Amino acid sequence: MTAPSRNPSLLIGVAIVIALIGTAILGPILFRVDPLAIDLANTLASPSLAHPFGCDALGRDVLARVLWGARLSLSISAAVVALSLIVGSLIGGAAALSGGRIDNLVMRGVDIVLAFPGILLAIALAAILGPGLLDLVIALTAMGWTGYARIVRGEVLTLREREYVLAAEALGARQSRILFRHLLPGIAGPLAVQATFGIGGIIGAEAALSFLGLGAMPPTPSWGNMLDAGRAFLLVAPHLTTAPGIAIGASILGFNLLGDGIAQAVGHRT
Amino acid sequence: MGAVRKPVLVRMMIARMRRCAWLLTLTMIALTSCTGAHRSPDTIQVDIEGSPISTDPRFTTDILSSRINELVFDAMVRIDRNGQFVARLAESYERPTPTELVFHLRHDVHFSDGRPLTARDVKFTFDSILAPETGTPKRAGLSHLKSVSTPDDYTVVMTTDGPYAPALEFAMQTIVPDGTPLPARSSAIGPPGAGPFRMASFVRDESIVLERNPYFPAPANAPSTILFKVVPDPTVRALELTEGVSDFSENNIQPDVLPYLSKQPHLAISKSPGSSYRYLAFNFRDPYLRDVRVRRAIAYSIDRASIINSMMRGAARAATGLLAPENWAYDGNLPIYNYDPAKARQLLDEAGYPAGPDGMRRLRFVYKTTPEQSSLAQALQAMFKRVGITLEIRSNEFATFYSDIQKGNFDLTSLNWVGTNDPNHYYMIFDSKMTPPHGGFNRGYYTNPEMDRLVETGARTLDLSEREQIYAQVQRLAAEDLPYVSLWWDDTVVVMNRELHGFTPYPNGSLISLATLTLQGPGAAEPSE
Repeated sequence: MTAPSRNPSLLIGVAIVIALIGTAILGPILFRVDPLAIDLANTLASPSLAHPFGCDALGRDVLARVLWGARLSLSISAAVVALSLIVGSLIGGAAALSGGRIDNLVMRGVDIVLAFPGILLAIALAAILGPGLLDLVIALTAMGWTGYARIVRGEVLTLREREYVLAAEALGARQSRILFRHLLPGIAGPLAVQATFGIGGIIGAEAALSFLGLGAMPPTPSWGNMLDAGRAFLLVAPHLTTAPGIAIGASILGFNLLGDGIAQAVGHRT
Repeated sequence: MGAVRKPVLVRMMIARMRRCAWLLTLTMIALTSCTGAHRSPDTIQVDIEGSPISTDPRFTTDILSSRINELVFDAMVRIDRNGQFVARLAESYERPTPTELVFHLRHDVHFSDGRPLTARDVKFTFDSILAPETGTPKRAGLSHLKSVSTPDDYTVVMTTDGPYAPALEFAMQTIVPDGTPLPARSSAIGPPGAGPFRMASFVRDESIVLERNPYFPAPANAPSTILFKVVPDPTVRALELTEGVSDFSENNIQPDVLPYLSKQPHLAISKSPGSSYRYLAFNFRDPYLRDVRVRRAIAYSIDRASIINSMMRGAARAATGLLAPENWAYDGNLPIYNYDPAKARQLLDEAGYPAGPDGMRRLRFVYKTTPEQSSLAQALQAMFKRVGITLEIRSNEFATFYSDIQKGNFDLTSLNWVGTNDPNHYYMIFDSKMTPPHGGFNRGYYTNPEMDRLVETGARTLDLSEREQIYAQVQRLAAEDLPYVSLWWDDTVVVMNRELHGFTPYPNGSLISLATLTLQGPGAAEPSE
């Protein structure tokens, strides 16, 4: 463990992520403007007191949409990472514990999935499943679970040979006790790092899919579809793309710094 | 199911990948723009949204193909900007009997390869379209044309299967040389034509180059070459105009960007009344939409004035019907549905769809659209919600969207009609027999015996004032019974480099006057508004 003062990544990362989560939870409660309410008198309005981030092509408040987009982005990322973590850990753990041919078979399967560029796989799946939030979560999970499977398998294989695990086994501890008492705490650190980076990556991937029209459907505000809709007005209303663009950039930066910080703190190489 | 859906998905993915590619192009233009691009002095660049579907005028039914083919090919008659027929290849024409039209061709016309144009070429063009093995969608449009005969080299006689009022429109078909084979590839350069230009090159999804037809007189100082460049992204088109890369654009710049372009000293913008008609179509196979009170409620719930003023920056006129005020058969004395949500709610209550506790009713419709039109869809969705109607938007790229519409797979949709001239178009869109599998455009399966009687009589009546009365009734019936809700007529919006002069905008958006455009240094006469 290093002292937090010598770990600026962790400090900045925590600050950004807390701010982000706070914004997502409190933002729509404090800034009570309907993100779906169109107001054609205000189309493409520049930022003002009433509309701090201006209005989009249908006169909807951009700030309200960015705030609601934060909720969507964070909840989708959290869902995808949780699902990937569970699926990946189960598959990786099972492979490591069974060993032999099953291990080999499962890990070659992981290699095949990894051979596809992740975002391309997600695009293909999203196109097949059709646009929609649930389909988006499935597509992104299909892209994300392999990392967790690899980490869990690798860590389980090394930890099982450690003296303290062998000692526990020699003392006659049950498999489940070894798993939860001795193996899991060892895997938690690397998994936390992977999951934190994962959230950042998924925020980007979700925005990419929504930008391509494969994610959240209009009128639901998401950062990705806001970028797509604002693209046509780059010349006359750059605030339409700047606001969600900064939101995406800041969140990915925040989660990456946090991931770095955690890695440093738990002494894990990334 | 998978097997059926796959091609659509692949198309969809390709379309989406392309959108990414355009964005890349955008960035690249932004980066390279400071170096500037200079065209050769007698070439003008015109940015277009996509490629024409065909370069052979026997096959062209889409707007882009027609726009470009008009510059390469000529027809016996054409429509001028006031909707009047003007003689082109024909020096005169007459109607000796109700079923016959006689055209006397000019003697001095040549195709761009030097061959003289005679009645044989005209007959060949029409016979080729009428031959079933040609397989052109244009054949359906000539279903009342019985035969084309050529008593001599410069006389053409068209015979219809009965008195047919819009018969003269047949003669607007542009002519290809006798013996022109059917196009082998869709990206082939078209046959030579008798229009002001000849096609020098065609690269699908990239560009088309037109050069002057040496046998067609060109004005002095006219550009010798027109480069049509395919630029699918509207922002890139606007940037290219700003940077002077492209010189001309018509009806493909977003209205919101016009104020920005008007600040560029080298660009002139002109807006003129157009005849392109945007409408909301209903599917009459939906039992709820069959109730005229529901259709009227929908009409009252649309705040057209706001959409036109804000989203379209005023570049449109609120429409009363298919025919624009410039059309000879136009009758504006019609019921108008101005925005009135209270009245809409009252009509829906009367129709038996009371509002629930959340203000919403038992009315839920699927609205099909394309990504380009999705902001209109979202505006309508919000307006319908105010009166308690739920609109579910399904947005697909054009090919999927259009095939859904042709199959009647929608509740509501919005499209536009471009280039309507003869009011007989009402027959094509509202006659109960003209549903898509039968060659017409009645995609909503609208059925009204009175409408059928009127549009069928209108097609057979030759007397102009009688026809005018018939179509006045058609326009009234359409406005009362609402097979369409009329939205607006788009203006013709031209953005052009100030060095170009003499372009005449057409209400139907025709680019024919690119042929008479001249190049002059800055400071010459201002373009007309």
